[in-house]
Amino acid sequence: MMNGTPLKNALPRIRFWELLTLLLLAAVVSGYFYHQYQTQQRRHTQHHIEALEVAYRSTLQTYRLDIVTRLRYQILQPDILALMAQAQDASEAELAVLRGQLYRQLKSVYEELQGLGLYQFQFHLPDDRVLLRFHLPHEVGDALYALRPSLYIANTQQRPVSGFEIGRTRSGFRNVYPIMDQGRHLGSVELSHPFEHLQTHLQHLLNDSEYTFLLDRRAVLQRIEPPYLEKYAPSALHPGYMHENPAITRLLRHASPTPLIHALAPSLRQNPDIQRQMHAGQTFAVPLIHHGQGYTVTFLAISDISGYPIAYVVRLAESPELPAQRDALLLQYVLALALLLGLALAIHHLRRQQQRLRLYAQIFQHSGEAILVTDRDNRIIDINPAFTHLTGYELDEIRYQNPRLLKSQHTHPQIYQNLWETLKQTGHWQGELWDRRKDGSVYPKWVSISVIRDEGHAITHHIASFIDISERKAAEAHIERLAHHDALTGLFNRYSLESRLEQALFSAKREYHTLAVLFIDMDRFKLINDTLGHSVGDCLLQDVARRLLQNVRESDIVARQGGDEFVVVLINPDSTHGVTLIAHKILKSLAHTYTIEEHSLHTSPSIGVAMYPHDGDTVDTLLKNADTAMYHAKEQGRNNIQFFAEEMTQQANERMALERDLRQALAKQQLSLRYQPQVKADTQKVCGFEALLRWEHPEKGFIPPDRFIALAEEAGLIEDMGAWVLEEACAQLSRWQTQGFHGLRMAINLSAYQLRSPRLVEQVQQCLQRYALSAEDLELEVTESVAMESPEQAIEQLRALRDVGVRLAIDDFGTGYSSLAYLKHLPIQTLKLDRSFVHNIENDSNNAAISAATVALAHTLGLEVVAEGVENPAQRDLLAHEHGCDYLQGYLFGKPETVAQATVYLQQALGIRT
Amino acid sequence: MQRTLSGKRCFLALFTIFCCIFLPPLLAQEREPIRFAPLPMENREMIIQGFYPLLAYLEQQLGHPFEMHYYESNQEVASALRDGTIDLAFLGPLPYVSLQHQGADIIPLVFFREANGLARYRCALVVFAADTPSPADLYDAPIALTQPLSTCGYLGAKALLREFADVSLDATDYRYLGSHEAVALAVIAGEARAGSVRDEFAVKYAPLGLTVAAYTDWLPATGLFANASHLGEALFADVQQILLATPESVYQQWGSSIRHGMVKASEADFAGVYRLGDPHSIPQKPAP
Repeated sequence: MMNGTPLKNALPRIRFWELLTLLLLAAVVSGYFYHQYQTQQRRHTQHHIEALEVAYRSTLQTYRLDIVTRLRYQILQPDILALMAQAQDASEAELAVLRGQLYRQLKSVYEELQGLGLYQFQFHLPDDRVLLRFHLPHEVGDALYALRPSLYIANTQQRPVSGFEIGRTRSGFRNVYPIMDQGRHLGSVELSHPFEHLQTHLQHLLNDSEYTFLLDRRAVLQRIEPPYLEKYAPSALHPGYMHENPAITRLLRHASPTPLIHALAPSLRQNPDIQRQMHAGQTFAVPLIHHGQGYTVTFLAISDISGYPIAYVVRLAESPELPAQRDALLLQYVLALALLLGLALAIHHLRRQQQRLRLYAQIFQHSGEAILVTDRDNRIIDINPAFTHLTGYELDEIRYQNPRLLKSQHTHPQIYQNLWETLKQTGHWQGELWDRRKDGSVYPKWVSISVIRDEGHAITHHIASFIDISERKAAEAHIERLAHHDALTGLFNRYSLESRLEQALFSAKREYHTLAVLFIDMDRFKLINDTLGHSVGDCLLQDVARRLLQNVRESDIVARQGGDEFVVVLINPDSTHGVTLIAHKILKSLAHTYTIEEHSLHTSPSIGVAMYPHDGDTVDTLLKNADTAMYHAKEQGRNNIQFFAEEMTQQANERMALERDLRQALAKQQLSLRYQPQVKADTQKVCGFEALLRWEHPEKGFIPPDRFIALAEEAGLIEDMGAWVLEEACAQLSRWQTQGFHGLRMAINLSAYQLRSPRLVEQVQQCLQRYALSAEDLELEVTESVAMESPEQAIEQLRALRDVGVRLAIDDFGTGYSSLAYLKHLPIQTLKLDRSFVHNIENDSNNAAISAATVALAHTLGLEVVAEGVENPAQRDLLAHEHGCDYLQGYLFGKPETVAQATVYLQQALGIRT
Repeated sequence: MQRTLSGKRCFLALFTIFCCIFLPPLLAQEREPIRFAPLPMENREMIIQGFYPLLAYLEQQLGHPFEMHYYESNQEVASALRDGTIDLAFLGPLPYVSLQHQGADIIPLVFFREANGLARYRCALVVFAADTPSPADLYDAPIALTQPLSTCGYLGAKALLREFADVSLDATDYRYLGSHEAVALAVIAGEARAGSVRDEFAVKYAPLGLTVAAYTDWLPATGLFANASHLGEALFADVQQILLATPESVYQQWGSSIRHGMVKASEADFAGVYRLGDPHSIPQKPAP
């Protein structure tokens, strides 16, 4: 389930053989119950069969005995025998009188027999003639052997014959006795009783039963003459049997099938088993439930004297136990089914339990957590492999020992006390303990201990699971460090600085001492990072961090604020002076050369200082003010320390407003170019212009470039601004050329950022192409300091520009500390002598010497020289004629003018009218 | 139009179906059975077994149910017919004449022929052959009679005794035994010195030594008489017609008293009964 296994796979499934077993079991149990039921039914029906047979036989036997007695003592008396003897050879007239006498002699006996239910009482002569029928006295002399085998046997074999026979007028149970007198056979006497008689006695013997009598249809049709067939009707129970016509038996008050038998007849007739057994003439009984009432229908086969089944005595007895037995069977089925289902569920449950136990055992064995089980006395009884792996102990080594053997004395006793109290109260405890391994090493672990109780709530076991949290704690420590320290330098990060400064402020307020917040920004760090790569920059920052830590106390806070900004918080400094000393110490340390890889890097810090409580009493205020002071230090030329002053805030605010306005200036076209003419030194003819950027602030008026150029660099606007200047200057040059001012050169200043921009060459090419300018018409100027910041990269970029064909010039030459070695490698064509050397050159011999040397050097290197800041004729003459400058630029020839003014200037200077 | 015709057809079909299903049960009235009772001339079993085939035949031919009732005395049978408790009865001439005297509207349907083929019989004074009593022996002797309202009962026996021995029946110890059979057997058994039965029974019990000492004049045979007040004369006219047309092969299967054929009954046949005596003169001696 943990890895997404479907739940159905996790639960035990009923297997085919289990299902088959259950079904077989169900079948066997059902079969058993059904067999029991059948046995019960069989016994029941057998009991009914036996009861009916016994009653039937006993009734017949009783009557037979009665008849024998009557024969001996009432009927076969000497006078009767004498009449019979006379009848042997008597004429018909004599027989008539003899019959009458016989009737007269035995009429009382016959009436007695009728009272007992006897039906037929008749005498036969040996020659198959009826002598006298008491029940039909007028019918005499007829032959019966063909119809009545019993008479034939009795008369021919002279032996008594008993059995059932279908008669011509009535069927019944015959008893025929030969009449013998002194060895002479005189005929036979027959005493028969009908079914009604039998029925009466059966009812006496077997109470609460109904009877009907069925006769074999074929036998009836064979032996009954047509006039008497009306007495019979087809049986509703079986097509092969008939019973007495109920219409007649009703009038005769004889027994006939009851309404109940008629009601049951359809179901009996539809029972193939009954039909088959009746057809075979078998004795049987069937249990039957009709409208909720139980009956047993017993079919007693009656055979004729030759043993051929010829009739049935059918007994219908109420059997109230049958529905109960059937209900019991159904109940047994239901119970068995319920038991089997219960068994199946139990097996299913057991299997699931087993699987769970197996799973738990697997979990125990393969758990990554160490598990320890103790008994109620807290003695170890089991451990899992993870325990052994973690602690080094095998089970045999620690079995039945107290887990305290794992203790290391590194856990506070209070924790153990809390552990046992909590376990006692809640049955569960979780926490961290420090224990000792078998090898003696101590480790922290996260332990979960539970108490196992039995049904009586008594403790049976303790189970403890734990994991080694050494790595987790290390990771937590690492995370803690990452959260509070700068990953690069290891110093506190901004978050940690704020919290620690907050804490320091709290202490300072409480203890009435001071704090100094030093905001340090590394000058030109971005340039180093961009030019030499981040790895060099990172190393530099790491070195800065080391130097900072070396110059403060341990109690002080050193943090990296981000980028190249660091913050040092001096806790309780001696005095402001002491702060100054430490700041200078830091300034000096950070300004030292950094040797990183093969690079010797020079950078310096600008440090702003804010003091608590003088400059603020909150973290934000102090940091903001220190930052403001730092910016002020940068404005002061970098590499210096500035203590915060209130006015700095004002300046900072103004600077921020100016930066905001500058961003809008580009969009609102508040920037413009001014064009200052350059002239050839020898002819004094204008040869070109230097495009100079101007910002006309709508409120503050003219903003000088030295104010907003630095701001644009800091705000990241300088690149866009430079591109705009390039575009605008080229466009103007193109317009002038269109106006007929040919041979002009446009000089454009490149910022340090432009010089590093990989897009510069492409921008220049596009401008030249767009405005159809010759590359020679364009001169790009870079300051000496910009070129020297990263000479190799500058040389590469300048060469690329040079390859385009544009002219290149070094601006403000002489103000920096140019490396002449590099200078000779720069693909420049022009040096622009800084105005500071031109200023007062006519009077200042030093400037004049520098100027002369510079021009000479330039010419030696094959470079042309432009002298800037020429303001009077003396300077012009000196530079042009004595020093040999190639071009001159200054107020003497023209101030930076608008396009219109410059155009007028051109028209005047060149005498060209457009 | 077609739709209208279809609708009509549907309606007619539904109407027909409903009529077929529901009308027959509504119209069908369970017909009342024709209730019949015979005279108890013999024992119950023989009478019932003898008349059942007759009723079965009529039921089959007429398509009308029959219902047999059994009474122990002629008087009961006559009263039941008179009162309409039964609709059809097997009567002798005396019960019929008696009913006529009572003003009952009884219709004679058929007379049953005797074994001799005639639709008439005689009453016979029977004695046991071995006894052969003289007329004088009958004085004060036990005489067996059938029933008071039997033709061969009081009136018949009185006429026979006068004829045979010039003895008044009232001077004998006469007793009613219920049926002709009982009278015959009583004489055979010696329980009565003589008895009065229909000549049919004298012949029937002759094999037991019963002999005829005297006969009456011819009397109209027994027959079927109807009370049509309940079911209507037409139905019994049909019964009469069916019976008279019954094939010999059929009526030969009937009981001994009715197996010799039938003739149409007529009022004129009953003159002989009146010659036996006045039915009102029969003393009210209880029947057995």
